[in-house]
Amino acid sequence: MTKRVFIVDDEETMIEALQEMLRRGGFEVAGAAHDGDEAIRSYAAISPPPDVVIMDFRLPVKNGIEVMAEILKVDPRARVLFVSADMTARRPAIEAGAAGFFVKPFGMAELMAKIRALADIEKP
Amino acid sequence: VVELEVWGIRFRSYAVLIALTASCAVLFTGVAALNAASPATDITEPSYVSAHTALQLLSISASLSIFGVRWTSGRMTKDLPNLLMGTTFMTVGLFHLFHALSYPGVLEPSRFVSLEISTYFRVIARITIAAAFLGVAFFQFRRKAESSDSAIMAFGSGVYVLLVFSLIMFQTDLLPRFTDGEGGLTGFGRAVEYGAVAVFAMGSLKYWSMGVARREVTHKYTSAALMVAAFGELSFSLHGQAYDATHLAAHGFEFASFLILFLALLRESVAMPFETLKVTRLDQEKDRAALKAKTKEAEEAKLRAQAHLDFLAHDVSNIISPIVTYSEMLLSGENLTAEQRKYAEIILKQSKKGGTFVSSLRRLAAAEAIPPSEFVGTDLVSVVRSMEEVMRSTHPLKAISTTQSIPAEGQAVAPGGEHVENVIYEVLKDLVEDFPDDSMRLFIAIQKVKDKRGRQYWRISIRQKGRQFTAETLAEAKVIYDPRRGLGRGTASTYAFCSSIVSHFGGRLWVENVEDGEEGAGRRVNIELPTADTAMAIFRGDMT
Repeated sequence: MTKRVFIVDDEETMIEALQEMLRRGGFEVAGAAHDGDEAIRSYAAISPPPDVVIMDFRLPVKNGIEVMAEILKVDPRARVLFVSADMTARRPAIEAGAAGFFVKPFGMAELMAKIRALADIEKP
Repeated sequence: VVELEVWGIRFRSYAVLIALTASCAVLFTGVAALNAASPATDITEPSYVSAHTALQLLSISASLSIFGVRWTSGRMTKDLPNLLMGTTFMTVGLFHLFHALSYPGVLEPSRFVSLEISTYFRVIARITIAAAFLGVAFFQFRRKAESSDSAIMAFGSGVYVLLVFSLIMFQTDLLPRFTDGEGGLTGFGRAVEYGAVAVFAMGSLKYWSMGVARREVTHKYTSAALMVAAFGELSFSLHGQAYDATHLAAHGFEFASFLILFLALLRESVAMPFETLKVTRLDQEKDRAALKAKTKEAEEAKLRAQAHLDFLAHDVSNIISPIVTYSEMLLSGENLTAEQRKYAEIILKQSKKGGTFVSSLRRLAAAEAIPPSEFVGTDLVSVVRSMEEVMRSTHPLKAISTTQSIPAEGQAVAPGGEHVENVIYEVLKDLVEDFPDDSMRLFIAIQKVKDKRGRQYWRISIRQKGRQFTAETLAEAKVIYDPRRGLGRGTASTYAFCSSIVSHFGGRLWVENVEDGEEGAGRRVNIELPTADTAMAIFRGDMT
């Protein structure tokens, strides 16, 4: 079964690049959101929930950690992988329950390997 | 500027001096007219002697007070003119005492009590004052007073008083006569008095011009005092008999001149320093407040600049990130020509370099914004372990094995907080990503070392086995903005930024190639950070 990924980033170009990268890697893009509120609404509407969420930190309305907290409330089994240019967010993101943190610009191979590893882990 | 003010008058313009001179002239004319109209027979001897003695006592008190202030301040400030004037007024005070005591009617009659002897003491007092004021006005004192100067002046003054006293008391016949035997002045006496008037008037003008030139009010007061003294001599020149009102007027002018000098001096030496101190303190408070406001402004500007840099770096990273991703996707395709591949590789390499540069710059700015008083301690052992995990998590394609050597204490606390954590992250990331094979081995050692001054540091040595640094990296590892470097060279050196961050926290970072040893050839990054105690010692100056 094709693994599904949900993307949250305020940069359209970044979303497109990630979508292309994921499609090439054999993933299905379950959806994308450009700000915090949209992300929470869209995630709740996706059924079944995506296997992995790629989350930016600096977002309009709500930041990535706040969005993750909301998503984890709805789906405690969600796996949120942060991809952000803001390295200072790494520690708080991990402490808040992020499954990993990649600093932009990231290595494509490393990021894909991490997404694959997270998606392959059987959800509890 | 604190201005000298006596009796509410500030001697700023000639008008004040002219007004004072005119007042003295009116007084003098009045006394002279009164004296001419009403002979001295109207003044009884006891009344006259009492008034004369009282005025003399006042003049003596003023003289000795001037001596006290001038002498003390002259010794304290090593000022020769002050010492000289102090000595002069002590001498003058003694002459006035002799003048008062030798005046007929004060003590029992004897050969030492006469109008002639008394007049000599008065005249020598005037000559001494005039000589001292003119000497100070015209002679350039080029050096500071030494401790021996005050002793020499005191001794010289004593000898001078003794000689004058002996000459007047015991060799009176050798001196030209001042009085005509009936209490009036001889022609010589009048000539001397007119000379004294001229000298005091000249001195008055000289001191006024000095006051104007130096913008110093004390000199203007001296000028006024000398002008009053000139009227004293003018009054004395009219001296016609023993109990003459002009004589009393002369002493009145004399006392007034001493009083002006003393009050000005008192104000200058005692009151003005306090006023200056008060003004200075107010100025300091204003300066401090201004400095505080400026510092706050600078801090706010710094924070704003840092926030701008932060946003800028964030946005640049967001711009670069898709370029890197698309370049990698391009390179992962199979249909590229050799030339296309080459260009894509260059785009990828330069984009990554740009991203690294911007994020490093941002980290450095954030670290340097922290003052020593706000440094946070970090356990380097935990940080290294945590960053190792992060590395494994973000580089799942690499098999990273590590060998750790940690201190016996189990922890190694050093300043730097998350900034040092970021440095260790960057170092590990560079070592991992710059290693071509999928499997790599790292040796991490944390140990306590001492510098030449005995200060203790935690040294983290991270060694990668198998690949050495290029000569370019070794050369550029410590320089961020070396103006001598070639265009585009060294700007993105991660180690240079990391080194600067470590330096900010009192440590150092250096890189080296290791040729052999137990672990084999490879590269090594060394980070030294002060222990908590050393950090306190280094930054104590900033923290207190």
